[in-house]
Amino acid sequence: MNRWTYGIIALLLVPVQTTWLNGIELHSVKPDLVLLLVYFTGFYAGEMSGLRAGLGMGLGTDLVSGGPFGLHIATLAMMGLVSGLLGRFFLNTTATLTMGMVFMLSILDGILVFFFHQWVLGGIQFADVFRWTLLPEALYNTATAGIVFWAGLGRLNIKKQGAGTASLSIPIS
Amino acid sequence: MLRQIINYRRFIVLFLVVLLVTVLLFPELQKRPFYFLGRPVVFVISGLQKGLTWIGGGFGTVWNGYVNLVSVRRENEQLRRDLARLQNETIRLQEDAHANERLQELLDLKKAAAYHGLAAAVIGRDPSNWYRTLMIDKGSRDGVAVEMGVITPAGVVGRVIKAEPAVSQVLLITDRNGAVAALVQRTRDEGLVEGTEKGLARIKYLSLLADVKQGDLVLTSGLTGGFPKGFPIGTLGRITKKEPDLFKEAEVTPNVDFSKIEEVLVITSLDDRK
Repeated sequence: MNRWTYGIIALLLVPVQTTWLNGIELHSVKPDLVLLLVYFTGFYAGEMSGLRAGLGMGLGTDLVSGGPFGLHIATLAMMGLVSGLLGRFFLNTTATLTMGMVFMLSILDGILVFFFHQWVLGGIQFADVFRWTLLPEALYNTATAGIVFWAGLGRLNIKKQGAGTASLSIPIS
Repeated sequence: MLRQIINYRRFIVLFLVVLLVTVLLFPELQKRPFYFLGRPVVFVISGLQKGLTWIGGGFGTVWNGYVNLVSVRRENEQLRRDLARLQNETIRLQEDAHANERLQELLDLKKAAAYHGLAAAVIGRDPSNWYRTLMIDKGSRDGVAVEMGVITPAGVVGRVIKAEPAVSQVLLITDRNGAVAALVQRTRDEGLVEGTEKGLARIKYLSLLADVKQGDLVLTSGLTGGFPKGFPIGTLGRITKKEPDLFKEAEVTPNVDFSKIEEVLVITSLDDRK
């Protein structure tokens, strides 16, 4: 994928997330395509690219979201960095691995959002948030990641950058 | 030494990002009007939102037309084409009629009400599942300001929390950060309607002696700014009272179906016009 294609996808993603995706909401929860883009960027292009994608997409999200300003910049930047660092452990990937990573990252992202929200605004119960927002979103993201991988990324055979450069490398065939 | 720094570059960057964001997230800084920094981004995003909403509407019409065509027999191509054209036209006319109906309701509400209202179209919703907001196509240039109430003919929608020049953001009453002073129509007991994690609403601080029942209508009390008194919010659902609590609370089913709002009315002034 060249820079222009990536740029257009990134630019359109927040507007798509706020318009068309509402049509596939289940119990007021929709998949977080922005998080998925940040994850895939970090995983395939390395932690610094993931971090940059997280900062940019986080800014776009924060500007049109009702939450405190900076919340998504922080969480998505961290997710980009974490996915990049995790990506170093794998030479290539499968749909199952992608789904597992996205599930884990969604939960981590949700926990971070909870802590930042609680710090700035407060007044929410973790158990309620976990049951009604965090877990359904993580499951929905996981399913969407599987579809995205199966429908596109897995077939494109994108070359991973920095694969196997972590101290522990797990080749997956 | 330099090599070590390069090796730890990502952690240094992460530290700097966390530091920057921590500073940004300080509650005091949230109140400062530094949103102007993001105005160009909001301008681009809202422009794309308007475009995508428009395309989505057009695509929906074409898609519905296509789905309706599936059952038509293959051999009658000409008839199918005519049918497609007519169906598309019918759907478009139906859409126009529905839009007309909705806008007429808004207009009636605007005419009948004792407040000034500004009609606006919904162009987007919150990108995150954590907050429940709407983006509307009217902003400070059109007279929209923060804290203004937003309604539809069915009931209360929410409150404006951000007003950019061309677009505004509305916090729904189903958001956990939203609150509207309310009263139960039948018993006149007052409370506060707040959003819940489930994306619904509940009324809190009802007196223990309040004789409220499921199905009672909940209205705005007019005590919080932005809304006139007596405008419908929803109906009471399950009523709960935990033992140590000094108040009752109840679920509220909003009158408005938030997933289907297309147009809203922003209450720009509560001055009595009559």
